[in-house]
Amino acid sequence: MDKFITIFFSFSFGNRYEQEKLLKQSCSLYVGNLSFYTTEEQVHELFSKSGDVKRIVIGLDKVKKTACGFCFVEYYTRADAEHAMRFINGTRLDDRIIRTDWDAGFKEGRQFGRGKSGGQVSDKAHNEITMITIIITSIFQEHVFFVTSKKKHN
Amino acid sequence: MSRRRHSDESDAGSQPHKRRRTSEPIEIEDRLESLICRVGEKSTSSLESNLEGLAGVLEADLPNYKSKILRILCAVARLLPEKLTVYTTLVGLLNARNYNFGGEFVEAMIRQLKETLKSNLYSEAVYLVRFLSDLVNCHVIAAPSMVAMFENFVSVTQEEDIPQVRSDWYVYVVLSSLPWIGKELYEKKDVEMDRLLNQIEGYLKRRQKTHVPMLQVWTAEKPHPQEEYLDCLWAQVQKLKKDRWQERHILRPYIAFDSVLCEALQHNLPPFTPPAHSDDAVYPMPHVVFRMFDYTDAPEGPVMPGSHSVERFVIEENLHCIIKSHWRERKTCAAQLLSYPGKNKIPLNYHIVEVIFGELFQLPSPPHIDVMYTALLIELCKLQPGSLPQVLAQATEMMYMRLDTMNTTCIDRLINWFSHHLSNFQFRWSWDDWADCLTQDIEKPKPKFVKEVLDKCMRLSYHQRIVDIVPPSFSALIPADPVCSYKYGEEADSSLPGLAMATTVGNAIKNRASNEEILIVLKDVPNPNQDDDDDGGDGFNPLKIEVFLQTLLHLAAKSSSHSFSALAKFHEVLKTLTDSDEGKLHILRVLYEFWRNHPQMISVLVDKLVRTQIVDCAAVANWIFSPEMAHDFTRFYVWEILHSTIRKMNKHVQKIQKELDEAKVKLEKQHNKKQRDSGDEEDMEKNSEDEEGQLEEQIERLQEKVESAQSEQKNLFLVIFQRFIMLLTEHLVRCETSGVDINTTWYKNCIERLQQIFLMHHVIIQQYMGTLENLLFTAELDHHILAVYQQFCALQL
Repeated sequence: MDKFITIFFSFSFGNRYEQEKLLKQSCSLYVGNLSFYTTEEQVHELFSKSGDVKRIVIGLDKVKKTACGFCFVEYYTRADAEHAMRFINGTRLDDRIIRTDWDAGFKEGRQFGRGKSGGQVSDKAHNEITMITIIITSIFQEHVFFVTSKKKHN
Repeated sequence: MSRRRHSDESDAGSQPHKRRRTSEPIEIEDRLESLICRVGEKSTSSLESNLEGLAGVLEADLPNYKSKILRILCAVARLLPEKLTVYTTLVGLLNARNYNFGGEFVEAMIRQLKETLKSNLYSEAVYLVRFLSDLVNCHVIAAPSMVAMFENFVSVTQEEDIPQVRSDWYVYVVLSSLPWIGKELYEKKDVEMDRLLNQIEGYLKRRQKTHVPMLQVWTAEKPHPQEEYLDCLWAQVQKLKKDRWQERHILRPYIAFDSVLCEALQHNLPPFTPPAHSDDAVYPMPHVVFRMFDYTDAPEGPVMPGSHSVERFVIEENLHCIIKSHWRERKTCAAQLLSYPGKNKIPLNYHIVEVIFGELFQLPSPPHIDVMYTALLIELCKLQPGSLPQVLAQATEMMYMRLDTMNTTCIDRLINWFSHHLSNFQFRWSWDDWADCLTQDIEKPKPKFVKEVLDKCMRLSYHQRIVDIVPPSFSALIPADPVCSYKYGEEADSSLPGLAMATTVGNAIKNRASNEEILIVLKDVPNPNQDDDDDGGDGFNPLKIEVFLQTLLHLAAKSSSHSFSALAKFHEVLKTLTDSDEGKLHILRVLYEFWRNHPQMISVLVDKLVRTQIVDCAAVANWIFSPEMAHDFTRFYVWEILHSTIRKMNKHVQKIQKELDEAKVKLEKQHNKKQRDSGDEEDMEKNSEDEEGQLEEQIERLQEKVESAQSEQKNLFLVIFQRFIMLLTEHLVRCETSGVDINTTWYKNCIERLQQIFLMHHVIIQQYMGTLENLLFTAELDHHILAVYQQFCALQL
């Protein structure tokens, strides 16, 4: 076929369901839109308001190894993390409105930005990747190989 | 029943809604639920026509969906109390159309009431009783039978040997229904009602009120007395009675349907005996009514109803109910609060702010997590940017003015709220308005409050920011620059003991020395406590601890994560150095000395040391009460550390208890399985015997673990209370002998911190009352200290 065609066959059926299961039990949050100057201590102070924080991992630019605007916050209990999603998500830290999301769990390496220049993948690219992943996975479930062009980076 | 009526993507714990296959009955049931839940909300048609329409739909569906409809209606009665009269009207209309259904509904409600009382769901039971009483207004229930139920409730006050909180609740449920139903009951049965109220009055006069001082937010009577909740409600009912039960605030949709409803046949409530008291009944604790505003505070617009008006009670009840229903979803909660029916006749923003702070400051603890209230107030400011922030500023100003008589626990919460709130609004505040605090002793409540607020603001930002946001005149209150204090640095005196050793240790760490290698290096550190090194230097050596820990913390000072890694890497060394109680105490002292300008670091590192079992909880308590910490004894962060430590201890006990319970359940399952499978091959029996043996061993071990943990927990509280008693007694004796007034700023702080221990951990402390009374809170104790204990006991009498 065409050289522009890439066939995805590495997706296993179960991948997305596994992911969803992990998210429902998770005590970890991804926190985005931090200022590059926001410190671990500031994050700790804010997120402690919804419960005892087990660990904070500040996201780093892969190349420069400096903070690049996101972090992971892990709680001891799910309930505490839920309170953070309810009452800290969408409020301000360091004058910026921060965004929290469920995270499947910190693994070594995930603290490095995956964007092209070493920082975070931008929201738009992030959404595109997610959308294409969903399309691929759901169509694969119908046992059809979907043909797509390479995903665009910002 | 689904509580979520709006799809809310940002909602935390939601399960993704499963797409059902199209199946008519289930779809219809969902639709019914949705129709019923949404009636009364904003609509293009009037409430009356919506109710009329809905009654028609439900009547038509009764043949096929009766039990579902019954269940939904019972649920809304219990869970949506802010829409009480909407649903009683609906039930009234249904009863008028279908008498049998009305009867079945009443029966279902009575069943539900019994269930809630058995399950200790007392606030829901109040809503159910109120619902039943309003059904009298809707001609569903006959007034005399309602009076009879109330008489049975009030007769609980004649029971003997019951906790006061039990009879309190039954009186409360009657009084709190009267705003809805007083008029009707008095019209039908005035003699009986008078007798009822006289009984209640007699009870209220003789009941104990020892608990009140412990629950008041302010100790001052002015400008608003903090009344005990039953006293306040009684005054409100008295006033209502004097006004001949004329009540104009409650929305009563059933009035529009009077011609239809008065044709309906009424049902009699079956005789209802309150379930007997049992030892596992947990009645609601008494509370004090929080008031901060009156009619003089809202400058323009509608007047705030008086503190003893029944309108005030109803408004506050309804606002509390809205928060209770919607607290998890802050945007919905804010919207619901602001669309309170009848809002044009009251200064709604003031009521909302008062109710929210009332909950936040509630003692022993707020109904919901503190941070929820911050988030809710921010949402309210967003929705009403032209009016609510001003009310909030006014409230803050008022609370600042009254700090001198505010309970320390409440001041803590105010500090947390205010600093967090400011951090969402660029820390904008008219600090100059509070310049009066600058002339006061820095330990007085007002300057102390400002100082602690600035501390917390700095934690959410950074030092220079704080310097920038306050006027220069406030410099004495600005927190210290949070840098570490390394004693073995370049400026150190060359004669400082351990200086050279610190360099050696530092180099060893940088060269990735192992724990054993570090311990070998440290062997050379002399012990200032001993003249001769006879035990090979393995005993408590404070200099070793200082040299090692100071150096380690200095190398890892970049961030808390660096410090955590350092503590983890050299866990073995630290454990060895702190083998004794003195070692544990000293490590905390060294930590404090190093990070004394950065209380947040002290907090997180103490937390880590406890969790990794380098120090135990009792060591933290002893450290906090030690003479070295006297200087910081009244600082907020110290108490945050202590309460966090107590909570860790409590969670630890709970965790092991849970493991034990789970093992016991497993063993029981094994037994049952064995009985079922008996008669099988020998092999299987032998295996299950082995398993059982292992389980029994495990249970024995866990039992020991639980006992040892509980003993540690009890010991922790004993240490804390003992230290408080020593400190306070010392102060009281000193004041007495020198003829000085005991009520210094320090004393107020200290005694309220003692109270705070009781209040914040009352459930656990209840278990150890016997020991506490026998060992510590005896009759010989100074009555000032004993009073705190007695007030605590009175909370559950």
